[in-house]
Amino acid sequence: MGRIGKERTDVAHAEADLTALQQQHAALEAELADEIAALESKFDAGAIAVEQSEIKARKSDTEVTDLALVWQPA
Amino acid sequence: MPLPSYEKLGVFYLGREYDPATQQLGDELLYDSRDLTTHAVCIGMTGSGKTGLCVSLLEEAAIDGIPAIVIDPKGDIANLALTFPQLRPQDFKPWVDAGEASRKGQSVDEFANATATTWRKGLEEWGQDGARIQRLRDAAVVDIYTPGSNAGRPLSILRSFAAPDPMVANDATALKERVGSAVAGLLGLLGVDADPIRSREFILLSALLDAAWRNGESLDLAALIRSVQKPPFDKVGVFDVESFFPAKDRTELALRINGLLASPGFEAWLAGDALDIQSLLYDAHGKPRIAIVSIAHLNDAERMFVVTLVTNELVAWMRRQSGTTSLRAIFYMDEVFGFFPPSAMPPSKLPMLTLMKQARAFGLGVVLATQNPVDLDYKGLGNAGTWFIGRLQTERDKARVIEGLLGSDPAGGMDKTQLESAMSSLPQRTFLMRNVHDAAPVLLRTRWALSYLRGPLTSAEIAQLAAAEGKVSPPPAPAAVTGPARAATPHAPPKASGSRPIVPAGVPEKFMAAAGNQGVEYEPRIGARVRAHFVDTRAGLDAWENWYYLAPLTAQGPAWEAAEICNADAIQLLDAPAANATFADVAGSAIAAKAFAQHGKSLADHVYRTSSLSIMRCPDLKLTSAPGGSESEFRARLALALREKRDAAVDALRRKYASKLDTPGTGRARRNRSWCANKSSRASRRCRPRSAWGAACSVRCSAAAAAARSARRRPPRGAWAASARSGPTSRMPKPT
Repeated sequence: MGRIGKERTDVAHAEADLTALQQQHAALEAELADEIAALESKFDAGAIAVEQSEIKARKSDTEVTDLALVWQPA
Repeated sequence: MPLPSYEKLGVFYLGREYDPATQQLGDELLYDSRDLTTHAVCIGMTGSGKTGLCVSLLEEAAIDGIPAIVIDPKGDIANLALTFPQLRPQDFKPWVDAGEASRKGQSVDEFANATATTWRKGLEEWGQDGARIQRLRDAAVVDIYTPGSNAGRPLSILRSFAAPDPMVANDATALKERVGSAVAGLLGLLGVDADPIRSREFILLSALLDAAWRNGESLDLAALIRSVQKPPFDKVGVFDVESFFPAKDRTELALRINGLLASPGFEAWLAGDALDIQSLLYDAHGKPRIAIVSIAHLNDAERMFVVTLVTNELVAWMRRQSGTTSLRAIFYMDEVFGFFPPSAMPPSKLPMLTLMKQARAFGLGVVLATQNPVDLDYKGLGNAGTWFIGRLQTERDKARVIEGLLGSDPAGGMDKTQLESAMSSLPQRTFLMRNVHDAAPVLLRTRWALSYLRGPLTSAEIAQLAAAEGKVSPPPAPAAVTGPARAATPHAPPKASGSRPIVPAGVPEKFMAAAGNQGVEYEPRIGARVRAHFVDTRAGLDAWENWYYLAPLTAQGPAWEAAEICNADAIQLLDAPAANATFADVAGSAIAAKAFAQHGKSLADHVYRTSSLSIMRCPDLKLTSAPGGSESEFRARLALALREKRDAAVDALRRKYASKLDTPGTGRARRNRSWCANKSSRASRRCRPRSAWGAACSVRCSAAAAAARSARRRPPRGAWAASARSGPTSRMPKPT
């Protein structure tokens, strides 16, 4: 194979490499986009659940002090 | 349906990059929301497109769930309330300018139709539609507050000079700033010179507020007037009060403040929602709010007063927040001229400077917009991480901006001539964006606003808007601490006998203060302090609550179910009754020593049976609301926690993919493609030639990337920046 032929082959190989890299890159980008999309739903503030609950006072810890007869103006 | 490419996590879609040489638009310009924590200034002459840019920025923040407080001196930003998802001509019709329609030879209907079409097309050109407008409306509420007027939502500016948070009260510098600004604002409203060194009025009012606030007391104007007449201290500095500010002069000052209080229409300043920053940022259900404080209807002194109070409140609120690197909220002020000047010291300047210097650590982004850079204090400019520079008219303005750009930073390799040239030829809606997180400035063409930009809204139009939209958000939710049940049925008052009953030994007797000191009639009650303990290990809650119970006394004993329950710290009891008081009968059996001792037990039992602490919890984030906190506060806390987690997750993703995407060879493969799927990525944005010209400088970019990584900066975004860094456009490689 002559020099020109060898260079043509090199160019073809380089182009094939480039195409492969571009495909690899596109796949990575798509993967990243998917993961970002998954994050978007995971961190949706509107969808976050909030529970309401009532907590009773602890009987043993309830303290009553300063008990007094208080005169209140009518 | 996939979201548009600009709809990414934590980024604001502001527009597209613009190449002045080809006059072509490039890639979408996605601004990392976290960059706004280092604040921004927007400068441009009238007609440069400032309003459009800033409205877009606020829209993007709202879509991302970030609330904002906006001070609107002109009425332009109120346009944020004009959002019409269906883009129907009839939506636009009430708001189009009939005069403009007439000038164009069209009927109002025709003009509204044309405007709706223009808006629809404009949005389409920028990849947006009515669904995005709906998304904006769903994400946040827009409320227009009009202090001193009932046109929009009234805002109670003058209800009280509320005592600041203990954190501020215990910080000498912060308290001094707060007092100084409040007094200067009030004196400005009265038209009194507010020199902090020479003005007697300033010094006296400062001393009064300082004394009250140190004791945790709030003052309303009436209390302030009384304090001016009878100060609660004898000396000011080394002088006694009479020598420093004689009673006659103090009365004159009190009369001036009273004149303000008695002026027609003054009640509007006292009505409406309290000036509470958290309630302004989130509605009662925790939905983010864009709170627009419109001051267009006020005179200069009133404007200064409102701006000073709002910014002071913001400083106080900011200091109560935890630190964060995510953007928590935005404070935006349009047309800042006169409020943040370079050399003068109006009362608004100090709190604004404090915000510019300290707000970053708390995730509060400050955005200031003005027509002339000379309107802004240089320290403020120096603290702004992002500059949006639109068309400027005068050489002085350009020189000031260039001085700032070259002085604070190397301006991405651009020299004075290049900056001058860039700024003189900026078309409308085009801005030079200098972001300290990027290595070089970029030219930005702003996107089409989702809101209908129809120009300033008048008070009448704001009232019309409020009526049409029913924009009266529910008041803030009450605190979540429910405590025990309160008095439901009034008990019949005992008969008055006149003389004071004899109380058995061992039964303490106390008296509540009466309004007057003569002819007081007392009724018997049983009072006690209660301390209750609420524990929930699963929720990580361990809280004590303190109450004071005051129950009517019947023959059977205290009626705890009908008791009044007060804050334990607020109750004040005296040891002696008022003079010449009369006393109601008291059942002897109820206060017999043995029976009296049982009352404590019965109260403890009643509290145990009836009291509960209402809390909210979020299992996903493992967070529990603070006892007494509102739903709004809790949801705001959740939103921030979620945003912080999201930002951390996005950063982790960037790190994961950065190494894969930066492998040798892929640099060449980056050519002619949009590299980063997530443009919010700081890491990914470091090297991302977005256009052909950008790709042509990829070698420069790669070299710059390493430097940028260490400097935490992103290299040039696009073609224009690259060409500017490389010199004349003609020497740049041709686009491929």
